[in-house]
Amino acid sequence: MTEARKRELERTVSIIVFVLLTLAPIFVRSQYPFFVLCLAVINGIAVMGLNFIFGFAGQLHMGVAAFLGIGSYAFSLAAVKYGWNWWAAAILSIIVVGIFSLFLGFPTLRLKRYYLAIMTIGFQEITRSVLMNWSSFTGGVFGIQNIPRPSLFGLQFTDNRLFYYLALILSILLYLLAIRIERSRFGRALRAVRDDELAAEAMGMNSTFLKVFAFIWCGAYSAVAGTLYASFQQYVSPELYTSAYSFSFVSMLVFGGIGSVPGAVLGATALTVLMELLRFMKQWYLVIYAAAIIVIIVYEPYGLMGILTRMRTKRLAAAELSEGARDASL
Amino acid sequence: MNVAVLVQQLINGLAMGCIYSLVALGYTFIWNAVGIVNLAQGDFVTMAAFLYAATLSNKLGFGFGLSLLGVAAFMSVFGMGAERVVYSPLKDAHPRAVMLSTMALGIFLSNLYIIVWGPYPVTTAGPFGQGVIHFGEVSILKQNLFVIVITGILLILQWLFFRRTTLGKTMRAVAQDREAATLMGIETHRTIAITFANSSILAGIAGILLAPLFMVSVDLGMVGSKGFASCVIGGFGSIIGATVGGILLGTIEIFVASFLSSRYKDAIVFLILIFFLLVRPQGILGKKAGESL
Repeated sequence: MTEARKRELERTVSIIVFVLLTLAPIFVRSQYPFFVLCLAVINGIAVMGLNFIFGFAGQLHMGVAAFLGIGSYAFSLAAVKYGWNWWAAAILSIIVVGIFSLFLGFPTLRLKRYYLAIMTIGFQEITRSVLMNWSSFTGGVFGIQNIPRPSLFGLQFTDNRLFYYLALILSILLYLLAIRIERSRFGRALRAVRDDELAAEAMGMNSTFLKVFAFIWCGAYSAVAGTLYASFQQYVSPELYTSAYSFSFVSMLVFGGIGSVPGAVLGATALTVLMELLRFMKQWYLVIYAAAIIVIIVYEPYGLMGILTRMRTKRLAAAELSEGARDASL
Repeated sequence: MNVAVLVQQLINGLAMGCIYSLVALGYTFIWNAVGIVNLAQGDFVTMAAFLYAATLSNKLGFGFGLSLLGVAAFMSVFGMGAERVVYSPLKDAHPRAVMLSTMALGIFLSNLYIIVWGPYPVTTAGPFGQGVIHFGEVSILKQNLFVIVITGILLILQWLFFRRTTLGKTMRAVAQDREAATLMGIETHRTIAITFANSSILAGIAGILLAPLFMVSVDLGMVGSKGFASCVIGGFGSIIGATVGGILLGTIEIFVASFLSSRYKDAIVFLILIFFLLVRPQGILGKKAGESL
């Protein structure tokens, strides 16, 4: 499939997903499914972030929830404890997570092999432990309550529906940004490093710098997701940011299609909704979902986007064939 | 602080460290054979712990020896099965894909345990219960001494197995150069399956040794991350490094918990890991391998 065809498919998929997300609230009346929808949008932002480091740079990141948590807490503490303006607190959250990403990313990503996986697993544990035990600052197990909702141009986002559309607009903007980054020099260099680090270095690329940069982008997206999450729930507590949550982000990316920005949004939306639909199966749903992830990795390494790409290629080939047949009959 | 307490904690630390070493060795053998990290290793430990505590010991009333054999047999079959499912179909794919599938296997297993063994932590007395041995002022949990002795025996057995038996030698050959081993007529695939079985048995024994010391719950899977950290601290891919790294990590952990802060012990252990990544990424015993792929 040519690059142009690929972009066309990506555009179609993303438009369909975002249009569905825009229209979905019309069909949702009660609170709970609405909460799920909002979660789907927020997860989508986090998974787009994960795609920078895992999809483009090829580094397994197992601690997205920790970065999301730091983002949530940085925002909530600034907004609640120190009474910062919502937007200022949100920007602070991005800066804080960015700094964490830089200081953790540099020592780990200058190394080859899979050190990022263990570092992020460890960091996840450190974060959980600190959020839980540093009660005087983080509120301990009770977390932080009364987290504010934003206001913009005199518009108050206290209504869930309004807040949902704010999150969705942010998600679309972040999607466009991610696509820009993917197609920039930086994005191409990053994929070169992923595919063959030695060759990329021989071409004069600084692989450490590129990977750290991707990791910081991942952190920034996680911070936005964390901020929106905290502000939507108006409550944060350490139990939310578990390694299980981190694993589910990885699964969403695998499900949607590793290395594809529309795949990230598609995977996050589809899995978040699907997991809610399967929740009646209690513990079984996680077992089935984990088994499904193994099946996807084995049979369809590029997830839903892989399937769609193949279907599209087949359709195009069939169309060309019939066109050829028509030409011949004329 | 007096010397008796110090010695006591040192032995507790060594016991914990022995368990981490077993887990770390499991990672190392698989890493050396196929170049992947089995992210479900911690859940393998949990499985053995549940199997021993909830089923074999508490329900069926098996003694320790019989349980050990039972768990080892089960884990070897399970390890080969796991290889079939998560490694074998992906052996030509990028190692990343295999690590993802092992991660998914971990999620699968840890949720399956809750279905099979229930959501509540299980306790078991183990062969010695809360029995304590006194050496003058020093009093030590018998189970902890037992852990050290069993691990010692197991390490010697592993060493003999890899040095003296044909199977062990073939496994080393495959780890050194898979292609050359295949050319020499070694059935590489079978050998890799046996490597997985061996690693699973080690995880299983770690699980049974751990079960009487802790409450058995899915949270035990954390031992897997600690074992992974041990590998990094000792030097990834080095067998002696994994052993030393594990013992060191366990000892540090117990000392941190008893003299610094028990709440932050896991956090501090992982901070040490990050410190190692920063100043000595090749680990204590690693060659300058940190930079090679």
